[in-house]
Amino acid sequence: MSLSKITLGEAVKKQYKYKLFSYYDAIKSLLIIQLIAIVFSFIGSGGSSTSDMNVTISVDTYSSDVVFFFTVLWMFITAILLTTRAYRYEDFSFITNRISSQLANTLYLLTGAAAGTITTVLSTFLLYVIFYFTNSSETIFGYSAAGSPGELMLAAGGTFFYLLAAAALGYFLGVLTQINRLLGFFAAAILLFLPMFLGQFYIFNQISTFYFQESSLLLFGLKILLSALLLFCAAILLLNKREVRV
Amino acid sequence: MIIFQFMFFCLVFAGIFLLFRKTPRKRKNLFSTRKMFMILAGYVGILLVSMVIYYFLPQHKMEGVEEALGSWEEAFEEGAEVYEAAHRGDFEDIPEEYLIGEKTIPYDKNTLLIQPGMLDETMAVIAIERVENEGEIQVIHYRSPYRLDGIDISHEFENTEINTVENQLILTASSPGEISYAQFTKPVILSQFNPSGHSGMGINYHAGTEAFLLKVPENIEVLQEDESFIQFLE
Repeated sequence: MSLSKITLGEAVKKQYKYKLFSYYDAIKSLLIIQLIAIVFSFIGSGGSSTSDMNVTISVDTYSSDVVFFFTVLWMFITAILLTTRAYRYEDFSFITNRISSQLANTLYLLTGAAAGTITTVLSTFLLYVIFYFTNSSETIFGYSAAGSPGELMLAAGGTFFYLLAAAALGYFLGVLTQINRLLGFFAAAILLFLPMFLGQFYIFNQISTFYFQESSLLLFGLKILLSALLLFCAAILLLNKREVRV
Repeated sequence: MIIFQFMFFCLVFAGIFLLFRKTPRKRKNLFSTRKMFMILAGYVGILLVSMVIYYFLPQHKMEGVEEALGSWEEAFEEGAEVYEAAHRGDFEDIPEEYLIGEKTIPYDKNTLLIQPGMLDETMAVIAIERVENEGEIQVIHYRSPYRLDGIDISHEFENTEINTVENQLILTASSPGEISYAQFTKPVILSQFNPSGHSGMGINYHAGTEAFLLKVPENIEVLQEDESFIQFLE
Protein backbone atom coordinates (compact mmCIF):
# COMPACT_ATOMS: atom_id res chain seq x y z
CA MET A 1 0.00 0.00 0.00
CA SER A 2 1.36 3.37 -1.00
CA LEU A 3 1.26 6.38 1.26
CA SER A 4 1.44 8.93 -1.55
CA LYS A 5 -1.79 9.83 -3.30
CA ILE A 6 -1.73 10.32 -7.04
CA THR A 7 -4.55 11.39 -9.31
CA LEU A 8 -5.49 9.55 -12.48
CA GLY A 9 -4.29 12.49 -14.57
CA GLU A 10 -0.87 12.51 -12.96
CA ALA A 11 -0.52 8.75 -13.37
CA VAL A 12 -1.45 8.95 -17.04
CA LYS A 13 0.94 11.87 -17.59
CA LYS A 14 3.85 10.00 -15.97
CA GLN A 15 3.20 6.83 -17.87
CA TYR A 16 2.78 8.69 -21.14
CA LYS A 17 6.15 10.39 -20.63
CA TYR A 18 7.74 7.07 -19.79
CA LYS A 19 6.29 5.39 -22.86
CA LEU A 20 7.28 8.27 -25.10
CA PHE A 21 10.94 8.00 -24.14
CA SER A 22 11.09 4.28 -23.50
CA TYR A 23 9.25 2.78 -26.48
CA TYR A 24 11.53 4.34 -29.05
CA ASP A 25 11.68 1.09 -31.02
CA ALA A 26 8.45 2.34 -32.55
CA ILE A 27 10.26 5.43 -33.81
CA LYS A 28 13.08 3.25 -35.11
CA SER A 29 10.64 1.06 -37.00
CA LEU A 30 8.82 4.15 -38.34
CA LEU A 31 12.07 5.50 -39.77
CA ILE A 32 13.06 2.13 -41.27
CA ILE A 33 9.58 1.57 -42.71
CA GLN A 34 9.48 5.01 -44.29
CA LEU A 35 12.96 4.65 -45.75
CA ILE A 36 11.98 1.27 -47.25
CA ALA A 37 8.78 2.88 -48.58
CA ILE A 38 10.74 5.74 -50.16
CA VAL A 39 12.96 3.19 -51.94
CA PHE A 40 9.88 1.25 -53.08
CA SER A 41 8.28 4.47 -54.33
CA PHE A 42 10.98 4.73 -56.96
CA ILE A 43 9.93 1.43 -58.46
CA GLY A 44 6.81 3.36 -59.39
CA SER A 45 3.39 3.71 -57.87
CA GLY A 46 1.66 2.83 -61.10
CA GLY A 47 1.15 3.87 -64.63
CA SER A 48 -1.27 4.07 -67.45
CA SER A 49 -1.13 4.08 -71.18
CA THR A 50 -3.32 5.03 -74.06
CA SER A 51 -3.01 4.56 -77.76
CA ASP A 52 -4.60 5.40 -81.04
CA MET A 53 -3.63 4.23 -84.51
CA ASN A 54 -0.59 6.49 -84.55
CA VAL A 55 0.97 6.40 -81.15
CA THR A 56 1.12 4.67 -77.81
CA ILE A 57 1.60 6.98 -74.85
CA SER A 58 2.60 5.55 -71.51
CA VAL A 59 2.92 7.49 -68.28
CA ASP A 60 4.66 6.03 -65.23
CA THR A 61 3.43 7.67 -62.07
CA TYR A 62 5.38 8.24 -58.89
CA SER A 63 3.97 9.43 -55.58
CA SER A 64 4.30 9.13 -51.83
CA ASP A 65 1.38 6.70 -51.62
CA VAL A 66 3.61 3.77 -50.68
CA VAL A 67 4.93 5.77 -47.72
CA PHE A 68 1.34 6.44 -46.64
CA PHE A 69 0.29 2.77 -46.84
CA PHE A 70 3.43 1.56 -45.05
CA THR A 71 2.92 4.14 -42.29
CA VAL A 72 -0.69 3.03 -41.79
CA LEU A 73 0.59 -0.55 -41.51
CA TRP A 74 3.24 0.59 -39.02
CA MET A 75 0.61 2.34 -36.89
CA PHE A 76 -1.62 -0.73 -36.92
CA ILE A 77 1.18 -3.07 -35.80
CA THR A 78 2.50 -0.63 -33.21
CA ALA A 79 -0.97 -0.47 -31.66
CA ILE A 80 -1.24 -4.25 -31.57
CA LEU A 81 2.16 -4.64 -29.97
CA LEU A 82 1.30 -2.16 -27.20
CA THR A 83 -1.37 -4.56 -25.98
CA THR A 84 0.96 -7.53 -25.70
CA ARG A 85 1.61 -8.95 -22.29
CA ALA A 86 5.24 -7.78 -22.14
CA TYR A 87 4.30 -4.16 -22.65
CA ARG A 88 1.35 -4.33 -20.31
CA TYR A 89 3.47 -5.81 -17.51
CA GLU A 90 6.01 -3.03 -18.02
CA ASP A 91 3.39 -0.61 -16.71
CA PHE A 92 3.31 -2.28 -13.33
CA SER A 93 6.67 -0.68 -12.54
CA PHE A 94 4.58 2.41 -11.90
CA ILE A 95 1.73 3.31 -9.64
CA THR A 96 -0.91 2.34 -12.11
CA ASN A 97 -4.19 0.74 -12.85
CA ARG A 98 -5.47 -0.61 -16.13
CA ILE A 99 -7.35 2.58 -17.00
CA SER A 100 -4.34 4.90 -16.54
CA SER A 101 -2.15 2.47 -18.46
CA GLN A 102 -4.53 2.32 -21.38
CA LEU A 103 -5.15 6.05 -21.42
CA ALA A 104 -1.39 6.54 -21.60
CA ASN A 105 -1.27 4.01 -24.45
CA THR A 106 -3.99 5.97 -26.28
CA LEU A 107 -2.03 9.21 -25.87
CA TYR A 108 1.13 7.46 -27.03
CA LEU A 109 -0.67 6.20 -30.15
CA LEU A 110 -2.04 9.68 -30.84
CA THR A 111 1.51 11.02 -30.66
CA GLY A 112 2.63 8.23 -33.00
CA ALA A 113 -0.14 9.15 -35.44
CA ALA A 114 0.95 12.79 -35.35
CA ALA A 115 4.60 11.85 -35.96
CA GLY A 116 3.56 9.49 -38.75
CA THR A 117 1.44 12.23 -40.34
CA ILE A 118 4.22 14.82 -40.30
CA THR A 119 6.83 12.46 -41.75
CA THR A 120 4.43 11.01 -44.34
CA VAL A 121 3.32 14.40 -45.66
CA LEU A 122 6.86 15.78 -45.69
CA SER A 123 8.22 12.66 -47.40
CA THR A 124 6.40 13.82 -50.56
CA PHE A 125 8.89 16.67 -50.82
CA LEU A 126 11.89 14.39 -50.34
CA LEU A 127 10.55 12.00 -52.97
CA TYR A 128 9.90 14.82 -55.41
CA VAL A 129 13.38 16.31 -54.95
CA ILE A 130 15.05 12.91 -55.53
CA PHE A 131 12.71 12.26 -58.49
CA TYR A 132 13.50 15.67 -59.95
CA PHE A 133 17.24 15.15 -59.90
CA THR A 134 17.27 11.51 -60.94
CA ASN A 135 14.81 11.59 -63.86
CA SER A 136 15.70 12.95 -67.26
CA SER A 137 14.21 16.34 -68.03
CA GLU A 138 12.23 14.96 -70.95
CA THR A 139 10.21 12.67 -68.78
CA ILE A 140 8.94 15.01 -66.09
CA PHE A 141 5.63 16.57 -66.79
CA GLY A 142 2.54 17.35 -64.94
CA TYR A 143 1.18 19.18 -62.02
CA SER A 144 2.44 20.58 -58.78
CA ALA A 145 3.51 17.42 -57.00
CA ALA A 146 2.79 18.11 -53.37
CA GLY A 147 -0.13 20.36 -54.02
CA SER A 148 -1.09 23.77 -52.76
CA PRO A 149 -0.83 24.59 -49.03
CA GLY A 150 -4.57 23.90 -48.77
CA GLU A 151 -4.13 20.48 -50.36
CA LEU A 152 -1.21 19.80 -48.03
CA MET A 153 -3.46 20.47 -45.06
CA LEU A 154 -6.09 18.17 -46.55
CA ALA A 155 -3.49 15.43 -47.06
CA ALA A 156 -2.17 15.91 -43.51
CA GLY A 157 -5.67 15.81 -42.01
CA GLY A 158 -6.64 12.74 -44.02
CA THR A 159 -3.39 10.95 -43.17
CA PHE A 160 -3.81 11.67 -39.45
CA PHE A 161 -7.35 10.31 -39.37
CA TYR A 162 -6.35 7.17 -41.30
CA LEU A 163 -3.47 6.60 -38.87
CA LEU A 164 -5.81 7.15 -35.94
CA ALA A 165 -8.22 4.61 -37.41
CA ALA A 166 -5.38 2.11 -37.86
CA ALA A 167 -4.22 2.71 -34.28
CA ALA A 168 -7.70 2.26 -32.81
CA LEU A 169 -8.37 -0.84 -34.88
CA GLY A 170 -4.98 -2.33 -34.07
CA TYR A 171 -5.38 -1.62 -30.38
CA PHE A 172 -8.84 -3.14 -30.25
CA LEU A 173 -7.67 -6.19 -32.19
CA GLY A 174 -4.67 -6.52 -29.87
CA VAL A 175 -6.92 -6.45 -26.82
CA LEU A 176 -9.22 -9.06 -28.40
CA THR A 177 -6.20 -11.28 -28.99
CA GLN A 178 -5.15 -10.86 -25.36
CA ILE A 179 -8.58 -12.01 -24.22
CA ASN A 180 -8.89 -14.86 -26.67
CA ARG A 181 -6.29 -15.68 -29.29
CA LEU A 182 -8.83 -17.31 -31.59
CA LEU A 183 -11.04 -14.24 -31.47
CA GLY A 184 -8.08 -12.03 -32.35
CA PHE A 185 -6.97 -14.19 -35.26
CA PHE A 186 -10.55 -14.37 -36.53
CA ALA A 187 -10.87 -10.58 -36.42
CA ALA A 188 -7.44 -10.17 -38.07
CA ALA A 189 -8.43 -12.58 -40.83
CA ILE A 190 -11.62 -10.61 -41.50
CA LEU A 191 -9.63 -7.38 -41.56
CA LEU A 192 -7.00 -8.76 -43.94
CA PHE A 193 -9.48 -10.26 -46.35
CA LEU A 194 -12.06 -7.50 -46.00
CA PRO A 195 -10.60 -5.32 -48.77
CA MET A 196 -10.79 -8.23 -51.23
CA PHE A 197 -14.50 -8.66 -50.67
CA LEU A 198 -15.35 -5.06 -50.06
CA GLY A 199 -17.51 -4.77 -53.12
CA GLN A 200 -19.30 -8.09 -52.81
CA PHE A 201 -21.28 -7.76 -49.61
CA TYR A 202 -23.83 -5.14 -48.69
CA ILE A 203 -22.37 -4.48 -45.23
CA PHE A 204 -18.84 -4.01 -46.61
CA ASN A 205 -20.21 -1.70 -49.25
CA GLN A 206 -21.86 0.36 -46.54
CA ILE A 207 -18.60 0.51 -44.55
CA SER A 208 -16.71 1.52 -47.66
CA THR A 209 -19.23 4.24 -48.49
CA PHE A 210 -19.35 5.47 -44.89
CA TYR A 211 -15.59 5.93 -44.51
CA PHE A 212 -13.74 5.80 -47.81
CA GLN A 213 -16.18 7.75 -49.94
CA GLU A 214 -16.64 10.59 -47.49
CA SER A 215 -15.37 13.62 -49.37
CA SER A 216 -15.60 16.11 -46.51
CA LEU A 217 -12.52 15.99 -44.31
CA LEU A 218 -14.49 17.40 -41.40
CA LEU A 219 -17.15 14.68 -41.57
CA PHE A 220 -14.53 12.01 -42.23
CA GLY A 221 -12.59 13.20 -39.18
CA LEU A 222 -15.73 13.16 -37.07
CA LYS A 223 -16.58 9.62 -38.18
CA ILE A 224 -13.05 8.41 -37.48
CA LEU A 225 -12.89 10.19 -34.10
CA LEU A 226 -16.15 8.66 -32.98
CA SER A 227 -15.21 5.21 -34.26
CA ALA A 228 -11.76 5.43 -32.64
CA LEU A 229 -13.31 6.61 -29.37
CA LEU A 230 -15.67 3.65 -29.49
CA LEU A 231 -12.86 1.19 -30.19
CA PHE A 232 -10.55 2.62 -27.50
CA CYS A 233 -13.40 2.63 -24.94
CA ALA A 234 -14.30 -0.94 -25.84
CA ALA A 235 -10.64 -1.96 -25.51
CA ILE A 236 -10.33 -0.21 -22.13
CA LEU A 237 -13.53 -1.83 -20.86
CA LEU A 238 -12.51 -5.28 -22.10
CA LEU A 239 -9.03 -5.13 -20.61
CA ASN A 240 -10.29 -3.54 -17.41
CA LYS A 241 -12.26 -6.70 -16.66
CA ARG A 242 -9.14 -8.84 -16.88
CA GLU A 243 -7.87 -10.39 -13.69
CA VAL A 244 -4.98 -8.79 -11.80
CA ARG A 245 -1.41 -9.70 -12.61
CA VAL A 246 -0.23 -12.75 -10.75
CA MET B 1 -1.17 -10.43 -58.25
CA ILE B 2 -3.26 -10.04 -55.08
CA ILE B 3 -1.52 -13.09 -53.60
CA PHE B 4 1.91 -11.55 -54.24
CA GLN B 5 0.79 -8.26 -52.71
CA PHE B 6 -0.61 -10.14 -49.75
CA MET B 7 2.64 -12.12 -49.30
CA PHE B 8 4.65 -8.93 -49.56
CA PHE B 9 2.61 -7.21 -46.89
CA CYS B 10 2.88 -10.29 -44.69
CA LEU B 11 6.67 -10.05 -44.98
CA VAL B 12 6.62 -6.35 -44.08
CA PHE B 13 4.24 -7.16 -41.23
CA ALA B 14 6.60 -9.86 -39.93
CA GLY B 15 9.58 -7.51 -40.29
CA ILE B 16 8.01 -4.77 -38.19
CA PHE B 17 6.80 -7.30 -35.66
CA LEU B 18 10.29 -8.74 -35.20
CA LEU B 19 11.79 -5.27 -34.99
CA PHE B 20 9.43 -4.14 -32.28
CA ARG B 21 8.51 -7.26 -30.42
CA LYS B 22 11.17 -7.22 -27.69
CA THR B 23 10.03 -5.73 -24.44
CA PRO B 24 11.54 -2.43 -23.29
CA ARG B 25 13.51 -4.27 -20.62
CA LYS B 26 14.76 -7.17 -22.70
CA ARG B 27 15.93 -5.28 -25.75
CA LYS B 28 19.58 -4.63 -26.31
CA ASN B 29 20.03 -0.90 -26.65
CA LEU B 30 21.91 -0.08 -29.81
CA PHE B 31 20.86 3.55 -29.51
CA SER B 32 20.10 5.55 -26.43
CA THR B 33 16.76 7.35 -26.26
CA ARG B 34 18.55 10.61 -26.83
CA LYS B 35 20.34 9.29 -29.91
CA MET B 36 17.10 7.86 -31.28
CA PHE B 37 15.34 11.20 -30.96
CA MET B 38 18.32 12.89 -32.59
CA ILE B 39 18.04 10.48 -35.52
CA LEU B 40 14.32 11.27 -35.76
CA ALA B 41 15.07 15.00 -35.61
CA GLY B 42 17.70 14.49 -38.34
CA TYR B 43 15.17 12.68 -40.52
CA VAL B 44 12.56 15.41 -40.03
CA GLY B 45 15.30 17.97 -40.72
CA ILE B 46 16.11 16.29 -44.06
CA LEU B 47 12.40 16.28 -44.92
CA LEU B 48 12.12 19.99 -44.08
CA VAL B 49 15.19 20.82 -46.18
CA SER B 50 13.55 18.87 -49.05
CA MET B 51 10.45 21.01 -48.61
CA VAL B 52 12.52 24.20 -48.92
CA ILE B 53 14.32 22.85 -52.02
CA TYR B 54 10.96 21.80 -53.48
CA TYR B 55 9.66 25.35 -53.39
CA PHE B 56 12.77 26.59 -55.22
CA LEU B 57 12.43 24.02 -57.98
CA PRO B 58 10.21 24.57 -60.99
CA GLN B 59 7.21 22.27 -60.76
CA HIS B 60 7.91 20.83 -64.17
CA LYS B 61 10.57 20.75 -66.83
CA MET B 62 8.33 20.55 -69.79
CA GLU B 63 7.37 23.46 -71.98
CA GLY B 64 3.75 24.40 -72.32
CA VAL B 65 2.58 23.35 -68.88
CA GLU B 66 1.61 26.93 -68.01
CA GLU B 67 -0.71 26.95 -71.00
CA ALA B 68 -2.17 23.55 -70.19
CA LEU B 69 -5.90 23.25 -70.62
CA GLY B 70 -7.96 22.51 -67.60
CA SER B 71 -10.34 19.95 -68.98
CA TRP B 72 -10.71 17.27 -71.60
CA GLU B 73 -13.65 19.20 -73.06
CA GLU B 74 -11.42 22.18 -73.89
CA ALA B 75 -8.98 19.91 -75.78
CA PHE B 76 -11.93 18.34 -77.60
CA GLU B 77 -13.26 21.78 -78.53
CA GLU B 78 -9.96 22.69 -80.17
CA GLY B 79 -10.13 19.67 -82.47
CA ALA B 80 -13.82 20.13 -83.13
CA GLU B 81 -13.25 23.77 -84.11
CA VAL B 82 -10.76 22.74 -86.81
CA TYR B 83 -12.87 19.80 -87.99
CA GLU B 84 -16.10 21.77 -88.31
CA ALA B 85 -14.51 24.82 -89.92
CA ALA B 86 -12.79 22.60 -92.51
CA HIS B 87 -16.03 20.75 -93.21
CA ARG B 88 -17.83 24.04 -93.77
CA GLY B 89 -14.96 25.25 -95.92
CA ASP B 90 -14.43 28.21 -93.60
CA PHE B 91 -10.68 27.81 -93.25
CA GLU B 92 -10.37 31.47 -92.28
CA ASP B 93 -12.22 30.57 -89.05
CA ILE B 94 -9.40 28.24 -87.99
CA PRO B 95 -7.11 30.03 -85.48
CA GLU B 96 -3.86 31.18 -87.06
CA GLU B 97 -1.72 29.36 -84.50
CA TYR B 98 -2.99 26.07 -85.91
CA LEU B 99 -1.49 26.85 -89.33
CA ILE B 100 1.35 24.39 -89.87
CA GLY B 101 2.40 25.57 -93.31
CA GLU B 102 1.62 26.25 -96.95
CA LYS B 103 3.15 24.47 -99.89
CA THR B 104 2.86 25.10 -103.61
CA ILE B 105 3.60 22.07 -105.76
CA PRO B 106 4.11 22.43 -109.52
CA TYR B 107 1.74 19.98 -111.22
CA ASP B 108 1.21 19.28 -114.91
CA LYS B 109 -0.81 16.07 -114.91
CA ASN B 110 -4.47 15.83 -115.89
CA THR B 111 -5.53 13.65 -112.99
CA LEU B 112 -4.83 13.66 -109.27
CA LEU B 113 -5.14 10.72 -106.94
CA ILE B 114 -5.00 11.58 -103.25
CA GLN B 115 -3.17 9.03 -101.10
CA PRO B 116 -3.96 9.89 -97.49
CA GLY B 117 -1.77 7.17 -95.94
CA MET B 118 -2.45 6.81 -92.22
CA LEU B 119 -4.56 9.95 -92.14
CA ASP B 120 -7.70 7.94 -92.75
CA GLU B 121 -7.22 6.48 -89.28
CA THR B 122 -7.13 9.85 -87.56
CA MET B 123 -9.32 12.91 -87.30
CA ALA B 124 -8.52 14.57 -90.59
CA VAL B 125 -10.32 16.57 -93.24
CA ILE B 126 -9.07 17.15 -96.76
CA ALA B 127 -11.02 19.87 -98.51
CA ILE B 128 -10.60 20.47 -102.22
CA GLU B 129 -11.20 23.90 -103.60
CA ARG B 130 -11.25 24.42 -107.35
CA VAL B 131 -9.14 27.33 -108.56
CA GLU B 132 -8.43 28.83 -111.96
CA ASN B 133 -4.63 29.16 -111.90
CA GLU B 134 -3.10 26.18 -113.72
CA GLY B 135 0.16 24.28 -113.31
CA GLU B 136 0.29 24.09 -109.54
CA ILE B 137 -1.45 22.71 -106.51
CA GLN B 138 -1.48 24.71 -103.32
CA VAL B 139 -1.74 22.91 -99.98
CA ILE B 140 -2.54 24.70 -96.73
CA HIS B 141 -2.13 22.56 -93.62
CA TYR B 142 -3.72 23.17 -90.23
CA ARG B 143 -3.47 21.08 -87.10
CA SER B 144 -4.96 21.48 -83.62
CA PRO B 145 -2.59 20.59 -80.75
CA TYR B 146 -2.02 17.05 -79.48
CA ARG B 147 -2.72 17.23 -75.79
CA LEU B 148 -1.88 14.99 -72.87
CA ASP B 149 -3.66 16.00 -69.67
CA GLY B 150 -4.17 19.37 -71.29
CA ILE B 151 -0.47 19.88 -72.07
CA ASP B 152 0.52 20.53 -75.67
CA ILE B 153 2.75 17.66 -76.81
CA SER B 154 2.55 18.48 -80.53
CA HIS B 155 6.36 18.75 -80.70
CA GLU B 156 6.47 14.94 -80.33
CA PHE B 157 4.65 14.58 -83.67
CA GLU B 158 6.28 15.38 -86.97
CA ASN B 159 4.32 17.36 -89.50
CA THR B 160 2.61 15.42 -92.25
CA GLU B 161 4.77 15.37 -95.36
CA ILE B 162 3.09 16.33 -98.62
CA ASN B 163 4.64 15.14 -101.90
CA THR B 164 3.63 14.22 -105.41
CA VAL B 165 4.69 11.11 -107.27
CA GLU B 166 3.40 10.76 -110.83
CA ASN B 167 -0.28 11.66 -110.57
CA GLN B 168 -0.52 10.99 -106.84
CA LEU B 169 -0.56 13.42 -103.98
CA ILE B 170 0.89 11.52 -101.06
CA LEU B 171 0.26 12.65 -97.50
CA THR B 172 2.60 10.88 -95.10
CA ALA B 173 1.83 11.20 -91.42
CA SER B 174 4.73 9.69 -89.51
CA SER B 175 4.09 8.09 -86.15
CA PRO B 176 6.34 8.63 -83.14
CA GLY B 177 5.57 5.01 -82.17
CA GLU B 178 5.76 5.04 -78.40
CA ILE B 179 6.16 8.04 -76.13
CA SER B 180 6.94 7.57 -72.46
CA TYR B 181 6.53 10.04 -69.66
CA ALA B 182 7.04 9.98 -65.95
CA GLN B 183 4.71 11.90 -63.72
CA PHE B 184 4.90 12.73 -60.05
CA THR B 185 1.40 12.84 -58.71
CA LYS B 186 -0.27 14.21 -55.65
CA PRO B 187 -0.99 11.78 -52.80
CA VAL B 188 -3.91 9.48 -53.58
CA ILE B 189 -5.56 10.47 -50.31
CA LEU B 190 -6.33 13.86 -51.88
CA SER B 191 -8.63 12.24 -54.42
CA GLN B 192 -10.99 11.38 -51.53
CA PHE B 193 -11.22 14.92 -50.19
CA ASN B 194 -10.62 16.83 -53.38
CA PRO B 195 -12.47 14.83 -56.06
CA SER B 196 -12.19 17.61 -58.64
CA GLY B 197 -8.42 17.78 -58.23
CA HIS B 198 -6.04 15.75 -60.34
CA SER B 199 -5.03 12.57 -58.59
CA GLY B 200 -2.80 11.11 -61.25
CA MET B 201 -5.20 8.29 -61.94
CA GLY B 202 -5.43 7.77 -65.68
CA ILE B 203 -4.40 10.07 -68.46
CA ASN B 204 -6.28 12.21 -70.91
CA TYR B 205 -4.90 12.06 -74.39
CA HIS B 206 -6.43 13.99 -77.23
CA ALA B 207 -5.01 13.65 -80.74
CA GLY B 208 -4.77 16.74 -82.89
CA THR B 209 -7.15 17.21 -85.79
CA GLU B 210 -5.57 17.77 -89.20
CA ALA B 211 -7.15 19.86 -91.92
CA PHE B 212 -5.78 20.29 -95.43
CA LEU B 213 -7.05 22.78 -97.93
CA LEU B 214 -6.04 21.66 -101.43
CA LYS B 215 -6.37 24.32 -104.10
CA VAL B 216 -6.54 22.25 -107.26
CA PRO B 217 -6.85 23.73 -110.80
CA GLU B 218 -10.21 23.13 -112.42
CA ASN B 219 -8.69 21.28 -115.37
CA ILE B 220 -7.34 18.48 -113.15
CA GLU B 221 -9.63 15.56 -112.54
CA VAL B 222 -9.47 14.46 -108.90
CA LEU B 223 -9.64 10.69 -108.66
CA GLN B 224 -11.30 10.05 -105.39
CA GLU B 225 -12.05 6.76 -103.78
CA ASP B 226 -14.97 6.71 -101.43
CA GLU B 227 -13.24 8.59 -98.64
CA SER B 228 -15.53 10.37 -96.27
CA PHE B 229 -12.88 12.79 -95.10
CA ILE B 230 -12.14 14.08 -98.60
CA GLN B 231 -14.66 16.67 -99.65
CA PHE B 232 -15.14 19.18 -102.41
CA LEU B 233 -15.89 22.75 -101.55
CA GLU B 234 -18.37 24.60 -103.70
